[in-house]
Amino acid sequence: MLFNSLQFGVFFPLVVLLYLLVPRKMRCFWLLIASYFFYMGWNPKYALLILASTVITWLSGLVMGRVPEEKRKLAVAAGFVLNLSILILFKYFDFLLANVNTALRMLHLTVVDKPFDVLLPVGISFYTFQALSYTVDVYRGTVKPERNFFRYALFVSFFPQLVAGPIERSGNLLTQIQKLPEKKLWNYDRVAGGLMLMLWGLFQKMVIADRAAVLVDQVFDNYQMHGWFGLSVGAATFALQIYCDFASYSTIAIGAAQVMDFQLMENFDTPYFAKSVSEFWRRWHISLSSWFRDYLYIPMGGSRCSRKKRYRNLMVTFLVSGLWHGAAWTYVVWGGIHGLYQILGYELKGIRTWINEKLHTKTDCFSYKLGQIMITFLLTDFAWIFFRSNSLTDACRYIRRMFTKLDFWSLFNGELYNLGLDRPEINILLLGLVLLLLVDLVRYVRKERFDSFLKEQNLWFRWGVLLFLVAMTAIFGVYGPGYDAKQFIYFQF
Amino acid sequence: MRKKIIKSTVFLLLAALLLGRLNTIFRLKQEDGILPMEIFYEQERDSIDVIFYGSSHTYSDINPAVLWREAGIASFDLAGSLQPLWNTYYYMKESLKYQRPKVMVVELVRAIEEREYIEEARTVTNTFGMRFSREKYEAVKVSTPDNLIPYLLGYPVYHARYTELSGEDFEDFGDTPKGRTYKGFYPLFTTKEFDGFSDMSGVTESRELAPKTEAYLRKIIALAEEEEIPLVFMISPYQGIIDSEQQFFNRCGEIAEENGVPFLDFNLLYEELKLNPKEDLAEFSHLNHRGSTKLSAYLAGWLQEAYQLPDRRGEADYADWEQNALLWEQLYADQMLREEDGWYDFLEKLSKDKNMTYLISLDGAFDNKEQPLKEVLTGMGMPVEITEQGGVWIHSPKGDQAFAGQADMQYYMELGDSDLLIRRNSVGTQLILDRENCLKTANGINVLAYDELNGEFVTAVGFDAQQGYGCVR
Repeated sequence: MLFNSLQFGVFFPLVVLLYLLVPRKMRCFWLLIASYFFYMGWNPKYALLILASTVITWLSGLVMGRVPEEKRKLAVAAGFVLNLSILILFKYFDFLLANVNTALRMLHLTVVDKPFDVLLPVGISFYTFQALSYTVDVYRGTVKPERNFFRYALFVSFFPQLVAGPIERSGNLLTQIQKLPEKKLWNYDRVAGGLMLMLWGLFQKMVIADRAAVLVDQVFDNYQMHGWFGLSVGAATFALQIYCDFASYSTIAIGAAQVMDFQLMENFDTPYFAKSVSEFWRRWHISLSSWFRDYLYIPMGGSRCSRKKRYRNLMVTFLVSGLWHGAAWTYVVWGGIHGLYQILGYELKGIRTWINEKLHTKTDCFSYKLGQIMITFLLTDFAWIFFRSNSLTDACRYIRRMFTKLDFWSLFNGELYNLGLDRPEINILLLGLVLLLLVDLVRYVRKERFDSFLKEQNLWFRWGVLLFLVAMTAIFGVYGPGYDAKQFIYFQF
Repeated sequence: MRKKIIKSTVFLLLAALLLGRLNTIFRLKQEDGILPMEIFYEQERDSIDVIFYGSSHTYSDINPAVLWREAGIASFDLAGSLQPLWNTYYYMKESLKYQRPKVMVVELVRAIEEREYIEEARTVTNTFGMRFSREKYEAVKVSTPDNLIPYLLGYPVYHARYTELSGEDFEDFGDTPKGRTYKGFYPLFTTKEFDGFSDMSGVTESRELAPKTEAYLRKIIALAEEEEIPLVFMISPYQGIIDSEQQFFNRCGEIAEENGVPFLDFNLLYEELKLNPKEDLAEFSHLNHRGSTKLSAYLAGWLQEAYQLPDRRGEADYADWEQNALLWEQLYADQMLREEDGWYDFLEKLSKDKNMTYLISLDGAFDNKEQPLKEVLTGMGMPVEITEQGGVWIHSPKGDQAFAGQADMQYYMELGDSDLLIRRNSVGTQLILDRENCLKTANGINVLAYDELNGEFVTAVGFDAQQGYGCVR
């Protein structure tokens, strides 16, 4: 059940209505039922997986609460191994097998022809990591083991953030679930704010991301047909698409949770305004990067070690982060590029400072910061090419064409409208981009979220913006069974 | 708190109004299935005596205006493009909630349908005009069970029409010249010449209908029996018929006979209809304006004789049908004008038409001295100065305008929703209709004609003096 589906449009109001009506003690059960129903909308069988992950980590937590310190490590390790085994089996088995087969072929040995070949369970990486963070937190003693299974099950499966994050920490979400019976559910401003966020998220997803996807798919699937201009536009549009797609999900999740008086952590903070790659990672998919920081990078030694080890830690973290995103080498390389950026960033810091001093460059002015933002965007966008390409070969060819097929004339010959979106569609996309820029600027400059900014404004402005977004999403949103004007030409009968 | 509740209610109301308005603008307004049903609901309850159901062969071949003129029959075409019988059945059920016809005629060309589901575009034309009801739900379900909700809501299907919106989308159909006078007919004003019709008299064997099609054919018969309304089956004549289709129709005839339903197969009755394959067909599948007039006149006589239907002409409650006939006659006259290539006959037809606004511009060397041009034009009422010096004359039921000579002039007028700008100077004339120059000849007669009754631009034509007033379109 996607957030932008009609089913969710019925499901969510019903869940909220009954959530307001059921007795306080039943709230947890009701949300748990709703969350499992939500998840089973994709494939009922996969509810067993999330249940297994929940039981394993819950028991692991309970055991850790009862055994002496020296045996707690065993419990956390068991939880990790079992949980990661499920993740590896369902997400990485075929990838691993393909690589083993490649190696076997190189050695002229018989390949293993038994792929696991099952559909990847939706959100498995998200809830697995969320559950694992709980076991580590219990192990570290930052949270107490949750004795109530249903509360814990709701923590793992809470439907607004179940399939695409933010990856919550037990210290935040589980604590709120524990206080569920005491929550004052109805608060007009909070509910209105949550709904505003959901509307903004739907706009981002349906008007911008899904429209950008048409152009991106066209360019990336036919990159051999395009030169520098088309490929650059394709890569830049993918940066827009993935941001709006991913951030919109988090925004809707945060809004939906807020309606029910849950505060989820922020997941995106104007990432394309970052002035360095390391800052980008403090603003992009914050719940995941902080997860890797807290549960992988720092335990490996973080930055408080030798330079060599620090670089190793960075590289490992980013390679694993790449692999977390998908079972393919393109994601691993994408992660590796980001790791490399960070290492180069540290290595070249001295040279940058030296050049700035020699050229008497002012570093505390708008133009310098704008330059930093633009360079950071170009670097991250370059890496996105690997993320989006269907294979490493495709990514390399895409980049090679981008730098060798220099069709500068395409800037002026209308090529922009031949990349999968015609002139009206490009105009709509640009309008969406302007709105996105305005909202992100408010966030960046005033440090205010969309809902809190609107709440401060006059009624006519607030309502004007909201009604405009409603109309824009209703008209220009990409949804429905694909009405095609060509299908309806009269004389087709 | 009370204030906040009021504020939320007002906001939700505004949002609902906004979405409602968007739905009105974006909804599809196709005449090949949606409009007939929507306007059917606008008809006076229990006023229709004959309803014709079926596919395009119904709404393009059977003209209620002709049935009205011939026998005063109040009829309506309630059909949809490529409509399978399972949609026809729900159209019938829906229509019987509002009307109690004396005869129901079902055109059965789509009995050839062998698919379980037809493409979704047809579900649009065959269900989108229906009001939300059990019948609509069933019609969508039987057509596209996988997309039930979007097709029931409609808006998710057509919200992306923003690039094809036009002025008509912002109008309520009730305000158009047609409005409720429209009776579901969709004329085809094109002509394709054929050497003859396919002879189906030798095809006597029959072929089993597809199970779903036969099931709904029998449901249609059962519905008519249950409602105790006489039912007639017919097959429209069409040039492109092949043997296997005739075999399906023969099977329909057998089922009709089993159930005592009259069956008119017009593919076996070309001569009775006096159809001319060179003039009466729009293309291989449909009749044109002439052919449909012949078939409708035949049906009027047959229905009148078989069912003694009341002649409604002159009844105040049936003014709509009279108006529809007037509109149709004007459309027919418009078409005759479009088909006329001779300057003399063209101008004569134009001058006799009381519902026409027309512009005649005499440009360059407009008089080749070989034809009685001046006499004809002055006879129409054009001022003599224009016939001598050239210029522009606009004749309208509301009054005339004349601009003689080659002097610089610019004149603007509205023709319905269109803008007409006339410019004359020493270089020449421009007749700019909606940004397009409609001047057809630099030396001769240029004519623009606009049908005031139907609110339609009819034609822009030139008669070139240097080519013996040959027609230029």
